[in-house]
Amino acid sequence: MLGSQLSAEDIEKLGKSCGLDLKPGNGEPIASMLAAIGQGVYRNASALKQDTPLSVYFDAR
Amino acid sequence: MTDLSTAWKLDIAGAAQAISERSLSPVALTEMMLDRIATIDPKLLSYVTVTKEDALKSAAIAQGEIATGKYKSLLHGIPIAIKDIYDTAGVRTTACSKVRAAYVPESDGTVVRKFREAGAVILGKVTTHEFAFGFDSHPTKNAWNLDHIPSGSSGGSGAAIAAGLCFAATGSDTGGSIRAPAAANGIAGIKPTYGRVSKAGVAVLSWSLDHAGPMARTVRDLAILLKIMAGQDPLDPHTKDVPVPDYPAELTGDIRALRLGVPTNYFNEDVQPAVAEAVDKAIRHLVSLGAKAIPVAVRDLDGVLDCMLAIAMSEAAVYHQASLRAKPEMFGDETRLLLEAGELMPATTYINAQRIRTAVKASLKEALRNVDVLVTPTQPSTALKIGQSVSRIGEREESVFGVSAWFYAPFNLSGLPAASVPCGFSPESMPIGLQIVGKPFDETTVLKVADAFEHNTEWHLKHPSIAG
Repeated sequence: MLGSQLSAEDIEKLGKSCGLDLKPGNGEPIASMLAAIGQGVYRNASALKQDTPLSVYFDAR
Repeated sequence: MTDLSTAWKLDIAGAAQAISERSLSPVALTEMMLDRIATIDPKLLSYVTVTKEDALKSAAIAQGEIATGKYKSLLHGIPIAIKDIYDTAGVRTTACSKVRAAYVPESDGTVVRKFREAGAVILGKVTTHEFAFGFDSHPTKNAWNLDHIPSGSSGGSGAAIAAGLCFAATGSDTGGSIRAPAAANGIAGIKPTYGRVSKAGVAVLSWSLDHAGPMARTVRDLAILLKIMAGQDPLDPHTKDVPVPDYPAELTGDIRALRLGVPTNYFNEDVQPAVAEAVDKAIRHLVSLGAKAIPVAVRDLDGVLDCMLAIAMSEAAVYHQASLRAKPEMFGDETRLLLEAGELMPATTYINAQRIRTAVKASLKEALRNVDVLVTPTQPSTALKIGQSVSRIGEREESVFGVSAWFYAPFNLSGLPAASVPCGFSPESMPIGLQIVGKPFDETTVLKVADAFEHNTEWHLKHPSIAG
């Protein structure tokens, strides 16, 4: 659920630590977006069996 | 001789027949299309770059080849357009972004190369939402109403075809970007199975969700185009070694033995009444042609939008990682926001999204077990107005992203082939699309159902007033 509790300030600090020059004012919408997507994905993933694998298209042939 | 003033209304099959019978010349056809672009496109804004000299040169070469009996394909001498994320040798390929404003590829991408080898005449490059990451395709307008978006991201392709400014165009579809502008502009489009068409030389939005495919006025044209585009490509490791059928030859019009899966959930929830009515009528029409409608429940789709966004945003952020650090101000505000958010997406969210995808694939496989195709609305509403940020359908309020990706995302996540064909108009005269979804690598059945519907209806014969 990482991301769901981050504030705009947290996002700005995290962005800076990743070498990003976030556009001023983007901290809040990014925090909201990550919270919504993170919670939605977590909720649905929680319903999966623990050993459900990733869906990947890699073909080793 | 074919009347040149109305030749833009032909489909590829019709224009090819006229060319092969020498009643229409590729040069005259190309000049006519270039004149139409010069007259109509200042209002529609569907082209980024018009390659007039190259197009006339290609048309003259095609004309000479055909005159000496070297007829290459049904696409020989036919003017088409290329979405501006497909590399075109010597022609700038901007992805409608300042980041790539000066990018001129040295070589064609695989699909463009195949089209040139088939003898197509490339008129130019048409708009995309910046790097195909969105749905409004600014500044292009909807061909049916200039106050509405053409949808996207292949909005330039959809609007240009509908307005008769090319006979076909390439599209790409990460979360509906072929099917949405096809539905919104009243034309046909197909997102083939993941791995069916090479993406070599197409700018990446999301490696695991992107699909390249054709858009055109008729389903038969899609079949002609897909036959040329499809096939394994050593330059694209995602493509698969699966035989490519002769799609046009498979369009028999006979769908009597086919079973249509009609979802009883998700795809019938929160749909605009006019869309629901048009799709119900379309299904009844298919049944009247001999297909059997079978109700099916589709499980595990409620989380697909978050799942698709988590994957697309993370993968896009990786593709643009260097540019986002070197020149972030060159990205448009919306794209920059999505890429910045994608950079900060937790790995666990991305991995869980890829695990949910496994469940979505299994669910759709189960839904298709006893039927040949699924039929659904292409999108829950008609094209939104320019500047509209949210859409309300019944009790549900959705962002543009949400309303646009809602019915598309399951098939990008599963990689299943999905087409859209026109099936009606709203009371506001905006086009409505019918989505037909098939089993992996079974584009043939999808096209067969779409073609049978089209042959027995006249929605595809209607043209917007801007086309003249």
